[in-house]
Amino acid sequence: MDLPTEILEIIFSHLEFKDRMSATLVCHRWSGTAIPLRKVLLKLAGCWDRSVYETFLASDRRYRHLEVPNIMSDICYTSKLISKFRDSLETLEVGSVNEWSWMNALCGLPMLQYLCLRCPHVINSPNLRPKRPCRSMRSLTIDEIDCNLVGDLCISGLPNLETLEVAGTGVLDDRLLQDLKALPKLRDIKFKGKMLDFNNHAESATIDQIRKVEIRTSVRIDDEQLLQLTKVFPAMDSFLIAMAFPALVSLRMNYFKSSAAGSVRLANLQRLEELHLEEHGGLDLHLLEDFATLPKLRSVKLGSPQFDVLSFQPRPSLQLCGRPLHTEGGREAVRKLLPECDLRLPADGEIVPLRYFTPFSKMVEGRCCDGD
Amino acid sequence: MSTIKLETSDGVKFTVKTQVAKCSGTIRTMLEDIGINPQDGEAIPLSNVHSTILQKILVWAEHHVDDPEPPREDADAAKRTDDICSWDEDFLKVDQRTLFDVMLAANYLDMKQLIAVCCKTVANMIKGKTADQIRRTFNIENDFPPGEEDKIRLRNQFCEERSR
Repeated sequence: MDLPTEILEIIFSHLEFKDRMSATLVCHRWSGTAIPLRKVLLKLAGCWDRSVYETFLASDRRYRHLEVPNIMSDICYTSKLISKFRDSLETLEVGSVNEWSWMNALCGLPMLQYLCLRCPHVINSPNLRPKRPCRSMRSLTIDEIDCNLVGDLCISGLPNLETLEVAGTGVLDDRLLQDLKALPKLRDIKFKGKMLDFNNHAESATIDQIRKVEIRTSVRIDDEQLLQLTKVFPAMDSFLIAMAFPALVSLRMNYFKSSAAGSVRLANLQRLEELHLEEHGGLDLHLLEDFATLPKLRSVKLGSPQFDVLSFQPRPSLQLCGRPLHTEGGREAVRKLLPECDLRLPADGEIVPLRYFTPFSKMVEGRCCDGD
Repeated sequence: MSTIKLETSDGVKFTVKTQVAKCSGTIRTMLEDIGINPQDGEAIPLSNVHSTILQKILVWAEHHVDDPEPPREDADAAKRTDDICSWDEDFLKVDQRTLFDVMLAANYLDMKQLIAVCCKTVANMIKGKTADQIRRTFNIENDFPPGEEDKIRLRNQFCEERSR
């Protein structure tokens, strides 16, 4: 086939990845053209076979996206591979890493935009600061980091960071908040961890630039913790995240204990558009009132083992649906509270024991009666 | 209606409506930017195109002369190949040599829409085939040096499509 390369590239652009894979085995010319390296993730996670690494070290292809099991020392095969691709690497995912290697990886890769470190359990030195800012980095994911080390991440050395995802314990401490404050382009943060850990010395930080926050915890955030959080941030009646991130448009959290839900006041989140609380202990009047005051809120999902999901859609035709609304008392109460609300019942056949609804209806009825 | 003359590699002269000839980016550039004046009666030489192929391409251009500009596609998404119109499908029911010659000429003449539809046709001929079947379909010689094919096979085992 005597077609010029640019035509071949158009032809291959119409093919799915597996057809491109077949095409690489057709002839010498196609092998270099069928899959552009920008589309390829070289995935060596879980591969410890020396001969595989030797093959890639001997090849002249400069991969841009690499996933390796570990970086333990400068002489190991994975480190050699990273050095070989140093000028082309845009994405790097590493299974485990020692402290020096991870800093070297940052400073020595001029094109690196996305770094994911799993189990960086040996990051423990306060001296771990980048020698110079890593300007190319736009996205950083740190998985399984130990509780007290997050503040040592020194992410302030990443001035162009847009996305941060941290999993591990104690993820939100004041050192990290100060670092977040210093990153003008940060838009999206995700925290997954066992607990939120704000210590008493934290000063209230207003972080305007962050648009999206996701927090997942595997244990309950109890009233005491919420109280502690609201002490850290002076206004008692506002939810911590609201204080820290007034520009938030999307919020997702999981595992709230029932009585804590009422303490989650959303009123300060005037720009909030989406709210997702998983395993939420129950819908209460505070939350309903807050929904009604947020002008831009167009989607709410509340999930819990007991109450299933309650979803909320744009006004003026508010729609609330969910198992709590099975009870006439619950529906009446919501009608009083939100007269324009269109109640939608769960699908037939979803029968839920009535006892689950009692607290909800009593709570709403009680408050409405008080109001009268 | 203004016309211009085109002369193919084998010396055949075609008189073509200017509008139709301008389906070719190459000819359009010659007329508009370089300022070749077709009124002189001089034929524009197309030294890379044979008359039988130009004949065919002009049929396509005549049919598609009023097509609107296509929307820009996302470069990364695997592009559709099931949207070839039935006229084009019939038009491209030709032997492979002719199909490739049309592609080469369309490339020389810078006719993006014709190139696109030809490439989709070829892509459809590749889809779902093994490397060996592809070689037989297009009569491509397996020119890998010894051992190279095994290396690519090994390499492919560790390559995935990048998702993010």
